[in-house]
Amino acid sequence: MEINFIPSRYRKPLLALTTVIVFTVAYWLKPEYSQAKFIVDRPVFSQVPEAPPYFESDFVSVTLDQYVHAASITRLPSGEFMAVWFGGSREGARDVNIYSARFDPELKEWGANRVLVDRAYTEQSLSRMVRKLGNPVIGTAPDGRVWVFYVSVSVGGWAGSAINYMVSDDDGRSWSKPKQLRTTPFFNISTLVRGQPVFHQDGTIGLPVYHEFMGKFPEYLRIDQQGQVIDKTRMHYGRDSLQPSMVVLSETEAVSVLRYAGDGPRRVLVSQTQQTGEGWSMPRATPVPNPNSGLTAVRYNDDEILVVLNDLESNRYRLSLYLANRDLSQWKLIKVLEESPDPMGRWIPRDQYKGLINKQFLESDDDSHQHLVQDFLARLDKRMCETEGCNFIYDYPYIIRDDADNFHLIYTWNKSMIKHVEFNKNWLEQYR
Amino acid sequence: MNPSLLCAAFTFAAFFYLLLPLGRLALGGRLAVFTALFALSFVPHDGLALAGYLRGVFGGELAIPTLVLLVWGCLRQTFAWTVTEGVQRMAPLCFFAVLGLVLYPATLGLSSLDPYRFGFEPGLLLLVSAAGALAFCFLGNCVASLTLVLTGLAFMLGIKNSQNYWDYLIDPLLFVYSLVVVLRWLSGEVWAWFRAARRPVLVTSEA
Repeated sequence: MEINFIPSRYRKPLLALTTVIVFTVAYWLKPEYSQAKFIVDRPVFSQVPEAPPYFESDFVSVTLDQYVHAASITRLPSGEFMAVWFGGSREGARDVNIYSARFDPELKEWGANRVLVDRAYTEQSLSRMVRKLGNPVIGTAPDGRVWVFYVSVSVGGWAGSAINYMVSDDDGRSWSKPKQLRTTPFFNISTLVRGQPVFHQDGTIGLPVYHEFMGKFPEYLRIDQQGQVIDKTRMHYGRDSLQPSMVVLSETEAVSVLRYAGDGPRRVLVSQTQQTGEGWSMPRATPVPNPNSGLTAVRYNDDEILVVLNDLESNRYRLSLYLANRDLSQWKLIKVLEESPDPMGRWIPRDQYKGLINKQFLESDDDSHQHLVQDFLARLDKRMCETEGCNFIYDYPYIIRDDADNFHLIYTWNKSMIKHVEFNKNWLEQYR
Repeated sequence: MNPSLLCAAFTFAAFFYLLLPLGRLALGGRLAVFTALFALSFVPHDGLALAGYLRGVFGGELAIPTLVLLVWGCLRQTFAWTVTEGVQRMAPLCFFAVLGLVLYPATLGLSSLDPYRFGFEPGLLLLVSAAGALAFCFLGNCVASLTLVLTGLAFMLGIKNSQNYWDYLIDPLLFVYSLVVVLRWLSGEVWAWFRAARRPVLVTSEA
């Protein structure tokens, strides 16, 4: 059978003419990439120069029957704070939801934990199969819009992840339906998010992300206000770096601290850009160890960056606070925030462990969660203990700076709770 | 109805329609099979249409040439059209195989250069596509030429959830299909040449 809508002698010239017209117009209308400077989050200290040193910690999550992880926090336009994290029976389970809670900075209290989005709702909104949810990151744009990015997997493990987003224009009270970012040409898989978003002067969002399929490397996405990816640059390639946490230093400069996932000496990696994220330096190792665990950084002042990490070669039994210079070549340990009672992080016998973690639990929180302690102790075995004994784990830190002199740090506390720590500059300065 | 789901439903129906051995089924029967598969793609399982499962596996919408290839395949299957063999058919498949070889290994992290980024500023890719479309046109493969024109048109209209031209131009299914067909064709050509070269030449002498 043959179709002859057009006489064959006209077919080629007509098609050639159409080709020329369509591609000429497409070329003319193609998106023009525009470089846009960063919005610089300038630290304005000394608003309250005589403020007493302040340090307070409490738990954000209140569910003890869940594995909770990968928390992030933002300051909402109203001045309240909102934290998001994932929780479920275990990491990667189908029952994992993305939770949120609000923090009142006047009352210093966290509100109720709410399900922000679950797997079934994500699946229906995207019209595609979703097996599990993971890492959520929340950020507030300069225009007041609040963005939540979170990971979902349709097929396979975390290497099969894609990034979804939701936005809120009313201070995080109601949210748009989830949509998916298009980030890779390979079935749109293997882009994950963990680091804080940054913002450009043209209204676009800069999102540090990472790739995990066949390789592990960090990337930088630029996303417009309609949620379309308009550029993607690679910070590195290969198989040994991920989870960039980015700090903007000037309108064109930024640095990223990277989790190291390779062999050999395990050190924090650093990559820099002087082209508003369009080009990144080859990552270099710093003197500080990193046990293949997530880390977080925020600008402290014009010359220094505050970094929170597990400063260990292996395991995650200590969480420390460092100050580093602008190019992260010089680091100074300021304070160990959390630490296993065993300085080498060795297994602790069960009979001693309950007393030790009970003490840490009580010290970690104001009075609001003290009623949970017995229930918490009863559930310890399956999360923190193995045949050799029990251990302490503090990981996945995420830090932001308030408009004032305050810092808000949030992290996973012994696989069981999301812990929030608030401190001011004067508290930190006393440990210099 | 959600256009993405409609597209997924067509992909679902076309995919299984092309895999089914339809034998001597009459034209009406073939159309009925396709319609049934299309309807089946909307049947919900656990709250999600079956097409949504395939969409999850494929990571969203397929590239425009893949969709055209599926439409073309379904028309062939239905109306028993014959396929042109040789360079005319192989040229576009070579084009997509080479594009895939440029794109996928590097984009998965094998080099510091990420060619996917060129798709956000697609001037060069549009020129390559235009050259390909004109070449296929003059080679006589109007379907391939029209496919690239449709791809350019779709990008111009922004019908996909992407501002990257690569997402319109190619996907892993098209790449793997093109690569397999081209390699099979090339191996056949090489084998034929090898056999011809080894065949003894009969020399006839004039009396």
